[in-house]
Amino acid sequence: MAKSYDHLFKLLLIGDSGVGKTCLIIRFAEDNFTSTYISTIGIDFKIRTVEIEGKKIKLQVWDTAGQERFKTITTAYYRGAMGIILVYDITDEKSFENIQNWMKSIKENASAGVERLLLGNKCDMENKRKVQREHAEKLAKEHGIRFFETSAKSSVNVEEAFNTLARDILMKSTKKLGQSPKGHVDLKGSPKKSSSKCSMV
Amino acid sequence: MAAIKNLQVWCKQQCEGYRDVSITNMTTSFRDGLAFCAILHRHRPELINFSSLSKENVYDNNELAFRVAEEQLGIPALLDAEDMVALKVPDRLSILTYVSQYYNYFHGRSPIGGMSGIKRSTSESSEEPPGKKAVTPTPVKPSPAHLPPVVKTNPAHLVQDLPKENPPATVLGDSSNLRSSSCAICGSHVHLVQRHLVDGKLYHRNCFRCKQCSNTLLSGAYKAGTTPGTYICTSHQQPTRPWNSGLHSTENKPARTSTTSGDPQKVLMKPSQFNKDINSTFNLSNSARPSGSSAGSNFSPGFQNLHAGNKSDLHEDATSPPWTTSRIKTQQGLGIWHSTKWEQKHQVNLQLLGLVLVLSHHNSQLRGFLVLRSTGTLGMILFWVCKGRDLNCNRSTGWVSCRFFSLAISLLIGRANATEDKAETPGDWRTRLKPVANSLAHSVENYQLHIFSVFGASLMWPQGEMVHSSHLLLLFPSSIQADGWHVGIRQHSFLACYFVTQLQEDYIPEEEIQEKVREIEKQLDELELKGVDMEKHLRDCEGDESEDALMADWFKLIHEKQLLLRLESELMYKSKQQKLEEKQGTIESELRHLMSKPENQKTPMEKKREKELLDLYVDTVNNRNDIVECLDEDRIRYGTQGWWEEGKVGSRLLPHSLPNRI
Repeated sequence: MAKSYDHLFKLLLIGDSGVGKTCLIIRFAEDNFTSTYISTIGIDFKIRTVEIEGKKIKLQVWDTAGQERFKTITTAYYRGAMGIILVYDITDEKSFENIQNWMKSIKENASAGVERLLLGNKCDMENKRKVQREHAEKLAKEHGIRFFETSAKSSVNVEEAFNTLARDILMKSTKKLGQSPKGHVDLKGSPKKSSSKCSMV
Repeated sequence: MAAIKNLQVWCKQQCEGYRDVSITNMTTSFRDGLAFCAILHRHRPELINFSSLSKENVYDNNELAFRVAEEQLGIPALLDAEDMVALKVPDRLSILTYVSQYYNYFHGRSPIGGMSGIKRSTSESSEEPPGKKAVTPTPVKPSPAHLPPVVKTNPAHLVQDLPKENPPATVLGDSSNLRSSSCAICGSHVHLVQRHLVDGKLYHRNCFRCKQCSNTLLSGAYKAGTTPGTYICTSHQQPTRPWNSGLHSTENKPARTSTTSGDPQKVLMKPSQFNKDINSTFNLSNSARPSGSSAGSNFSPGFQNLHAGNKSDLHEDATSPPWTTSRIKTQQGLGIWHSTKWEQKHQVNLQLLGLVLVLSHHNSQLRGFLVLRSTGTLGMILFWVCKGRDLNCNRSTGWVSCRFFSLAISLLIGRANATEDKAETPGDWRTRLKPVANSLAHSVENYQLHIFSVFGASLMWPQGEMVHSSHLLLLFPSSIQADGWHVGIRQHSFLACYFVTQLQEDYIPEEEIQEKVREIEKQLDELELKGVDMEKHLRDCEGDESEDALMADWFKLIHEKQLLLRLESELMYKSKQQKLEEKQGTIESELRHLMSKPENQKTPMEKKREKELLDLYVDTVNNRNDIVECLDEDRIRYGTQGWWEEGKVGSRLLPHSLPNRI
């Protein structure tokens, strides 16, 4: 029970209002979907534990309000995130253009080494598509981040997206651990696993 | 001579190479506190700066070790730093016991091989007579200020880190090696196994009770009370929050009330609480809408009246004829409902069904009150009902179907009325609200039925789940919004999502948590009883041959107690988490209600309230996050090595205990 998981990762979703951040989270955390639009108030989070490479990862997924009026509340949560998911709506050109602004916001508010991921949501609505896949791929490439087109409604790529991000964070943290010099003044004792978890948080 | 010797050898190995530390016995070798610090430092060098310590600072060294071990590793401080200063020869059994906790924590992850290393080397190091090592009895001048109290946000340790009082330097002459051993509350002797140290004061674990409700304070679930030196359960609210008495009453619900079936008195209690909730919700809606504001004022009186009608429906056979059919049926259903006992999973299923009912009701309204459509929905519902009934009910089949039918009927009537309603303009609708008494005004009736259905549905929420009902109740103010149904409908579906969410997550009813906690408490009491006895024997046979076997049992017992305490605190986290989630939901619905109003129509009071609620909302989310982080700290603290699982206690309790997702 105490060992219900090995790592706790904090993820954060940002993007324009109405692109489907909450729906993505509900799909991921509860495998559920509702088409009624309810704007998020400020901030919220949900939790799901996934297993990646034999490790139990507890994902705390933070949901932010896309509306400008909550900006001051939401930006305060960037700092603690280890992974940030930028979401736009493939049927909404503007939400895609705004990704640049959200990127800027990450730069200003988040920790330096934060993992990022770009998602184009609502890919089930192909007939209303406004943002071409290639454009988004290009953008993702420019920023050196991964990209998925998802649909919270039809459950496309949602799992994959979150898991990929979690895996990237896991890789990064174990790599960092491996490189870290044995800086202990101690005799020969490097505390086995405990320090790894500290660096994670 | 395994247990004691091994422990000593283990300590010796841990402290090898550390300046001024040599373990030659299990008493004076530990007095200056450096040995504890050394063991901690070997495993967690980041926690203690060993090179800065000096063996002269007996108090500081011990205080540091005990505090770090407790806060960072979760090892309860059995020893008191003051004792270590005061006693020339510390109590051997206490040291052994305390060190055994270090051993439990670190063994298996020991840098030098832990257990296996110890078992092999049994030869060397004969125990030297205590006191051989010259202990400089310097009256230590403690300087608490130079160890700044760690600022903790951990709810598990909400107890404030008060600076320790200076240890009395005078007691040095005391020959007894158990100094402070009486309980700060009852004054009688505290046995080792019962020791509970909080802010330098010693208590029986069992004496350490909440100032407010006199329940034993549970690890991880108490905070400092209003007067210094007292503590209260974290579940107690600070003095009334005016903004939501509904929530308040839910939260303050005595943890152990069993609103269970069978007892007619209790059946009555429930609706009355329900009414209280309604009442508060209504007052809330009234206060939120000052009498001058547009349509709201038109609705309020009518609504109050409905409320009254509703109340009388519940308590006596009221005489308002128009609703009789549905009312009686509902009432029948309700009464009967409580006399049937249900299994947990049935309850969940029924809750879902209730949601379907409520939802379909609104959804069809949303779609323009189409009769055809709604009858279709009703058919669906009935199908569901039957299906649910066949699958889930065994004993109470008849009653349940009766309930569902009454609900269905009330919905049907509601639908019919609603259909007529749609022809009317909102203006007409409002003017009709004036004559209320037993009017057949469609809208009123419609509301009435609306209440019935919601009420009925919420009563399906089984015993002990009034919490949910109070959520549902928040629907009322939102549905009487002047600007139409839509906001209300949105909220309904939102709340429905919220419920579904709650049901899907591993929600444990508060009663069940309390039950488990009681179970643990019982086991703890038994353990302590055993421990008291064991301590007596241990002290009698010190140095004896039988001592060792007894000591091994003793260590096991201490370990077991630790495991139980940990399990208990995890349950407390779970309970806290759930309460916060509920609180968040309640705040959110009120907040949405306020926010849905156009900005220019809001009164200054509403604006202020909105801001307050938003702050409260964010606070609640943050508190939930604190718990996630506490659990994570615990995970780090207790490690992932699974010492937790290996305990017999743990595995015995596990199947019924917490789910993995907290």
